Amino acid sequence: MSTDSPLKPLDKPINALSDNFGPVVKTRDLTKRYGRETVVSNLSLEVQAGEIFGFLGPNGAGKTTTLLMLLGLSEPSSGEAWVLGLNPVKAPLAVKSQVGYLPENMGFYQDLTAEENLKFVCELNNLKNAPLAETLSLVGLLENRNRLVSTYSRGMRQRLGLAEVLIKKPKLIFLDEPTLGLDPDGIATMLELIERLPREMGLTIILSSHLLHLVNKVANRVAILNKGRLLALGSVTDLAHQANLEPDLEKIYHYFFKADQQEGAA
Amino acid sequence: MKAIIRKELADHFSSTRFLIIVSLLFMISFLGAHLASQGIREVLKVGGHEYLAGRVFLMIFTATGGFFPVTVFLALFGPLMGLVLGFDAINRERAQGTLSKILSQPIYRDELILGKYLAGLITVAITLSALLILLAALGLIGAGVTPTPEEGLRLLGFWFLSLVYVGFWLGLAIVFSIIFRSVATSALASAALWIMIAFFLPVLGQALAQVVTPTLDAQRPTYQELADRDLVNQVVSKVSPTGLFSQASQVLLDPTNRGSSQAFQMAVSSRVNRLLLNHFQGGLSLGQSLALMVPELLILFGFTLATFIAAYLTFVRQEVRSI
Repeated sequence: MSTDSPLKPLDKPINALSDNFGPVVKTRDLTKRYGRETVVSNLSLEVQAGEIFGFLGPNGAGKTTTLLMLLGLSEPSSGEAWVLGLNPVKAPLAVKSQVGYLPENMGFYQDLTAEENLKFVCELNNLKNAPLAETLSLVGLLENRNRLVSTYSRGMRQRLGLAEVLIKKPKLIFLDEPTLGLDPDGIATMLELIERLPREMGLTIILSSHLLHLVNKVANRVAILNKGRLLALGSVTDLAHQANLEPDLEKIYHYFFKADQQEGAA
Repeated sequence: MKAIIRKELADHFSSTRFLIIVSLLFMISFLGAHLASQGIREVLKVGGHEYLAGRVFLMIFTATGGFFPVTVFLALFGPLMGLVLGFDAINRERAQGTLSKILSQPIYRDELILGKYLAGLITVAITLSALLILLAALGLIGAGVTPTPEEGLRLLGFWFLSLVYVGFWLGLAIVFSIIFRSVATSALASAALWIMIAFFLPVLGQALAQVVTPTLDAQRPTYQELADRDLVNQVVSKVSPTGLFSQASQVLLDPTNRGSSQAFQMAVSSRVNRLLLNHFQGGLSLGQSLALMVPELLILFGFTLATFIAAYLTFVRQEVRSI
């Protein structure tokens, strides 16, 4: 952590993964159709505990739809998914109480302070005596806790969004384009936080993004999607080996993307 | 769901637009009730109005006094309260990006819509209670009459009726807030439907009655022609929540009201029936009034329930991706 970072270190992990239920996320032929359009097609993958799993693909690749299905917010057209050993369709509340989700455009109640926004999330989760100060401190917002969110910068809002995700002590978090619209300092702070979470809290992270160089910095393994189909899955090193390239995610991504387009054209 | 209700209640009672609408409702209702109570005081001063015993107090809400009676005013402008509370219930959350955040918490989707609806109803219930209590106090002071227990019960019934009526508009506004992504479109659609139902439907009913039951001599219509026309008007008013509320509130707050127009009564009643009507001119009991207004209340309740169910189903079936 850099010396001028607004983030504070944690004394102890908020929530270490202790349960042993195999892969944290597992999907088998997961498919989602809207009418005739297939947005996620036969997706099968596994995410292990403590991983930072990069979910890559252009807009419309099916990343957000997959996350929504894993959260139980959207019902799969076919196939199955298990999150922390639970089926999100059958037990959506159990899944949502253990999974944190930072959507692409996380919104806040502008007329409330950061702490009041956080308290509302605690109430929705039925959390009493939640560590508000500790969580705000973790994301570097403790000193600004009583300021209206309307006065916050984009970076501060993203960090507040992360605080809202962490306050319920999740075991798994989905971050959908968490660095979108942030300035370089904001991106650096966010990435630093993302890197620390599995290490210090035992969290598993699924990071959806189309900014390859950022994912390259933090992800242990990645899945590359295009038009709802899984093009590649594995660690950057493994994928580089498969593609016979140097371990550069940008080059790997373009390799698999091009191969898919050529296959489609053929 | 408690968290959503609490948040919504705080939002409603601190929102400027709600305070403006409520202030307007209070001011105009006060004016109507004040003028009515002044008129009642003048009439009572003259004396010889013993037949009014047991219903003077309620006249504060039904007498014109040179202005709108409170019941008519609530029928026409009470809907604004429901519309203001509901027209941006869902699309505002969607626009500010808080909808996906709420839905990703461990709550069912129906809890959100139910919480918003209940919070709106609680707000309306509190506002109506305050309004009716203040109007009653104004009547006590202005007209110098105390309510009988039956009048108190009739007023309580009117409170419930008003709650169901405003609840219909609240549900309708919430449906629009789900269907329309734009807050402005939802507000416009709500206002347009309110104007159509509250102001144009009665006119439409009269026009339809003239077309369906033409009179041979417009200057001297027969009782049968009047009765037919009245029947068409009654049918049209049964599909209008405003008409249903007006009819039910008149029956409830005016013990002499028998739920149909004088022309209709005269047309259908034989000489014997007219004699019987005169016999009961002293007014109906609370039970009789309630029995008379049951059809209106049930239809109105059905409308209110239908809007809530429509809001619930529309929201629950909506794909989250579109949210």
